[in-house]
Amino acid sequence: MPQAASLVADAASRTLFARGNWTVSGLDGALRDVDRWREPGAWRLDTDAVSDLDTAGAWALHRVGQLAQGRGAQVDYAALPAHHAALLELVRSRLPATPLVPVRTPGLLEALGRGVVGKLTDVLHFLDFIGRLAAQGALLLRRLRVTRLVQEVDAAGVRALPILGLLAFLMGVVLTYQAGEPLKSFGANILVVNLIGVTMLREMGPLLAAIIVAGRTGSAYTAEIGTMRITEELDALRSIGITPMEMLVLPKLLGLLIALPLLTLYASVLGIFGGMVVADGLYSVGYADFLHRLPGTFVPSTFWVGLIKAPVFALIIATVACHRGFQVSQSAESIGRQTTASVVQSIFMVIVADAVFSVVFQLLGL
Amino acid sequence: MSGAPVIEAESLSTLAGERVLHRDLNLAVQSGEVLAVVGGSGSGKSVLLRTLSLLQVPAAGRLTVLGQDAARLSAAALRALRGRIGILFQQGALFTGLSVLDNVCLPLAEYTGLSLQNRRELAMLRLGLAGLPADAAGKFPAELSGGMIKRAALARALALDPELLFLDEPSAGLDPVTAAGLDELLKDLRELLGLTVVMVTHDLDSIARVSDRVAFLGRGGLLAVAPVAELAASQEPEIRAYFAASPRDFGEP
Repeated sequence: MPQAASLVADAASRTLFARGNWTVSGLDGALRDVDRWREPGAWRLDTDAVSDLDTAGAWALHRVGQLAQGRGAQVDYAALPAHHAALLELVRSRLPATPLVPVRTPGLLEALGRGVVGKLTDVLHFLDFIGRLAAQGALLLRRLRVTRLVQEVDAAGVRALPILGLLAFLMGVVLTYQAGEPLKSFGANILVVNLIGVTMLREMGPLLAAIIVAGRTGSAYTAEIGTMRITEELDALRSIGITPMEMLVLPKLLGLLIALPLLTLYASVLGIFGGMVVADGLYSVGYADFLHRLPGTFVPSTFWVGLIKAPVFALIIATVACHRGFQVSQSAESIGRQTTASVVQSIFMVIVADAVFSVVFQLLGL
Repeated sequence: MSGAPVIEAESLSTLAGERVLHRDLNLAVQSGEVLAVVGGSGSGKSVLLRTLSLLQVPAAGRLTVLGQDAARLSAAALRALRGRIGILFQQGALFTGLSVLDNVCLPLAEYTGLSLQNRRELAMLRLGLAGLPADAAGKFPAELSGGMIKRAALARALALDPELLFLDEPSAGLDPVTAAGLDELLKDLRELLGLTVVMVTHDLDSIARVSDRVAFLGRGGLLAVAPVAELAASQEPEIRAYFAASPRDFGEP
């Protein structure tokens, strides 16, 4: 273990003795010695006992002189061995002249103001993005990339089938079980069919599909576009004459518009199937009875009301996700931040839209 | 300074995916030496650099770095060893979420007990050593030009006064004046601190200015290791072709 660096002031000989290993890993003790040493007058620096000196150590030696000057003392470096002096010279010549500017932390009011302005700008950006998407999207439809569209439908739709199916099935199981117990005590077991049919078709199917897609596909869209932005791939696309809108946004948007309604239907069916399994197992409503009764439990509008929400949810998820992707700035952290924002905002907006739908359908009497 | 080589590779093999890049490569880098690694594109310069700097495990062979067998390092020993090695990555690899100053402060915070104020001032010295102006300290990597990113990355590589420095194309993207300044700095540090440098480069001027020896990679291994003047006079067809592409005078071997 090398000896740690230290600085000892010997008042009798007016000499500062630097000792030990003046290298970056052992400097903290020496720097404390330097800060503690406050005697005025003229001093001579002696580094004969320094076993090892690197540029950090040389910087610390330089600091001794600087601190001394600030306190009205002088340090004479003439006695340094040649190689120490050379290193000190190198450090002095390369040390930036301007002092370090302290980092400014914004006050509470400033942070609040910046936060509010930031959020408002976000909204403006989003509106701007929607406007450009609508204006350019209509023009670019002629140049739609069908291959990309098929890939997007595959990635967002087909590959989501296993996880969405499992979750919808389990949701159906849970709902039927929760609702079945009170119904059973009234001897109204058969009503679980009405309950699960309407719930799944109207609410749970569309919401479940939208939330899974927002988490699974929306996040992927944001991360993909964001990474392409950082690696300048978006600029490269533009340089070839392809707008990111036609190559990335439009196929994703249309792909989701196709995939999400189908996923919604799929989720509803699997949810009802889950309910059917529980109804048969726990509430003695057989498969045949269940299927026979199911069509009579809802009017056709219930089915369409559920399905009509899906394209709207798809629009929300795709636009929020793509917009967030374009908002990524030049750092790895920002991809994470924007991806989080993408998922949170799209799920939030999906649920708000769902609430609006409920009110509208109520008013329309659907 | 001991006489033992700083890096010793014996019959080293490296892989890139499934492909064997180097087979039976033997190389010794002496203390205080500046070794340039050259070779055509795809000859595995960067992979060799990654292997020697302990970022990639060799597929076969023995590797000794700073006197320690790379295959038998404990986690703590490896960490300590990494503190003695500085690496300048080809693209800089600055942390995009941190300012330039914080990028340089990070290794100091990890390996030393210095106070924040001292770490910052020492980091400023590193920026000065690498030739960055003081006002670059507060900037983020995204706000820097390519050459400044290189210099900031060099400042981070120098943060802990490493004994062994790996540079992956240090002068690519630098203007000639800055590139020459970098070479001067390497010379100074080697002279004053006995720094050992392994650098991958295509810059023949820089090779002529600072390198002691040049390792020429090709055909799945090391074709030659020799001072540049000797290498330029080599009769090996690949080496001849390399130096014939931009002829210049390297002096007599």
